[in-house]
Amino acid sequence: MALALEAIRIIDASQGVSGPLAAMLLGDAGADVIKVEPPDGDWLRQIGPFVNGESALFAQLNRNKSDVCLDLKREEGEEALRRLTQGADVIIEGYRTGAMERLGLGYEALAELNPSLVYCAISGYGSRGPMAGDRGSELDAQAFIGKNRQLGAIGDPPLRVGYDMISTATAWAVGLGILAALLHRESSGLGQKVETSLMEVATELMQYATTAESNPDEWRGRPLSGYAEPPDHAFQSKDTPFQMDFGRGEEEWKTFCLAVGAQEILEDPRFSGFRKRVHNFELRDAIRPFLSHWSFSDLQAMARGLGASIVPLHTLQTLSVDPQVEALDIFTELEHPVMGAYKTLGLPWRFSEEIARTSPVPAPQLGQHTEEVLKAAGFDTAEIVRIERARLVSPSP
Amino acid sequence: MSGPLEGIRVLDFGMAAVGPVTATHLGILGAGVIKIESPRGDVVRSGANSTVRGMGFTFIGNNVTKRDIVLDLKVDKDREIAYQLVASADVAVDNFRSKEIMSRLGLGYEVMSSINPRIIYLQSSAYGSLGPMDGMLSHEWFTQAAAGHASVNGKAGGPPEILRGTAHLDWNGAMLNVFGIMLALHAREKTGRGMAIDTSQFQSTITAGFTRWVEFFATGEAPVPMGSARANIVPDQAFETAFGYVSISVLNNGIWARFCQALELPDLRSDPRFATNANRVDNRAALLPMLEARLKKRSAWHWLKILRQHGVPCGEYFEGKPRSHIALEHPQTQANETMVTLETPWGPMNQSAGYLKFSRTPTKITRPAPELDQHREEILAELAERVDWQDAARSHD
Repeated sequence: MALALEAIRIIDASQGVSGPLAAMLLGDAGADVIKVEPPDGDWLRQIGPFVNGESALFAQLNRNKSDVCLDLKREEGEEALRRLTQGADVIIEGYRTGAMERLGLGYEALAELNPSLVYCAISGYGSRGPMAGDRGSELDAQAFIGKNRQLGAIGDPPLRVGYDMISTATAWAVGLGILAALLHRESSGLGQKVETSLMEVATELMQYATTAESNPDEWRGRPLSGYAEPPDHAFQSKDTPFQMDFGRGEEEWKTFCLAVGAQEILEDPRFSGFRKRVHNFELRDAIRPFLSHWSFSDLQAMARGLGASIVPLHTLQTLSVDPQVEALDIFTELEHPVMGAYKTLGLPWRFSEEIARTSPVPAPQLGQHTEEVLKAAGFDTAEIVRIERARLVSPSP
Repeated sequence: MSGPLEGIRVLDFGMAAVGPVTATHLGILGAGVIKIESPRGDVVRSGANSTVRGMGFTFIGNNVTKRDIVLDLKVDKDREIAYQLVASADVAVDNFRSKEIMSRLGLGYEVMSSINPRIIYLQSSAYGSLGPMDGMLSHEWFTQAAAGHASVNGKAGGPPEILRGTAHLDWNGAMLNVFGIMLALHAREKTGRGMAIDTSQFQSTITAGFTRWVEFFATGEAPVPMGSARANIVPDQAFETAFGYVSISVLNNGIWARFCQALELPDLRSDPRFATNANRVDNRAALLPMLEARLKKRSAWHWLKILRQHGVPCGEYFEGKPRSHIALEHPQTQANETMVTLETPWGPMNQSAGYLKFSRTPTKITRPAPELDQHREEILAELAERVDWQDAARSHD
């Protein structure tokens, strides 16, 4: 079985998380990915944690790419990228809106030379409007869409969602958007510009609240949430924090409360009946002291009788040894010439045919393949020397 | 519908969130989506949560772009119709807790592919189709606990926190599902064959935490809640000002130089303790009080203006209104048409317009969520016209 994207060539001129992660996954599906970095490199190379001096973050988001270093602010570098895109199917870039146009490397200019090119632009806030040129970040996008209101309490300093949800979801948007445009190209023969932004992806991830807030029959705190509710720290057992619900059945609830020794909860009128138990958050605090006497596995057994869901609240460490992670084969081990053996996440899909795999080819050093990529693209030795010299003359204008 | 996937036909057998949202995203990209509901209807039509004119808001938000038919898959006559739909489809999606459910109804992948070898069938469960948690039901806040998401939310030094009033893991999972389906569509272009795809909210959530997993893999230590800050970039957090908070992300040294200039703190710029991000991470405790003191002197409004002028990524924490209303009214989302207000049978509903913009095949949401069985007549009429599909489906019985 051939990989899904064999014979597709992608120029990854993006930096950071979203573009590089998307390009890497497309590479895992067989695309030939050429990373184009500026002379001072992708900024992620400066972000830790470092292993033997190498940014683990960069290494894990850029495997399976060849690497060309070009100074796009100099004519030689700009011209080299223009020529590289003529032989490419896709380019991904995340420069500030308008920057590529100013260099003569915008979609219109490149499409004139290669009409089948799919050009993917990633920005912080979209390509129009008063903030079009503003740089974005994960945290700023979270602030913009009000993610902080779903954590913490009113009056406290804002919190962040710890997973970089918006950056990674933007990577999925980049990947699927490029694939949709390539699929359309199969019938039309024509490429196009595909744009996404952290702001738009953040808005999409907020769709649940957006609909809830449109026009509700009654303004209930629960589904709308935000600062109307106290922070939810889940529960603590004797050995591990966990999350659970309280089932639906009255009899089962009674049995459970007696089993954990919480007779007084049963007698408390604030929690009588299913609706009160779901909607009265005081129950969570009231029942906490009873649950903390028990081990997680005891509670798991009791919750089964209750017909409730119960799961551990994992740290990444405890989750890493959870049998479910092993059963699904979520981690994989790869080699890097500087970092040595390292663990990483495998692909999030199980296809019944092998159309993608976690490529073992390690992330490149800055400019590692400049010469061979340019040579293969038809540049002669004199041109390559000129391009290399241009990037070494620093700083660029 | 219009968009890059025009001509692709999708069947949504799912309920509640991740399955239906996967199909919706394909619909927004231009695919024709038919939602198949049991006679009782999708569980989220009911008013267990908030309603809009009696309809569960979750249903309205999760099912735009779709046509709808009710089929009782336990009844031969209706299953026959499902087979005809399968024969005519490119993609099928469900999100039942186990693959067994559709298999027992006679609609497992083996059956579907024998009717239509080109079909791509994605099954998106809570915890995956292998391992001890196979078949377990979930709700987003359980996956938040079980997949590590909650472990990195919260105050520095405090307990982990579950994100409230969200379903963003479902949206993240849906986007990864669409990504996988798009890869399978590309593979099918080469081979003519479809395939099965198996995903889970558990794994898609872990994958959304990609960058945090790198920290764990590289250091062996599980990341912990840090308020709005993060371990590997300094400063990248919220700061209190004289009035309100601002988020500031100094992602690289160019931004650091401009940040020092914006704050009029030239001494910081030349201080070797803070020269690189790695230095700033090491000397976080020395740096932050200086920044906090300076930023407290003026209002958030002032700093946002100055920081934007200097090209420093920053963000505003809006207060006082539902988040979706801010998203609707903000000049930046308006300029990018990030949100759309759809006329629906339940009144006007606010909706993310989709997170991708295609220059040649623009997308547009033209259909609100369907009423139960709303399109039965036209769907059956279309099937009647396509005798070849019926034959393919019958030959299976």
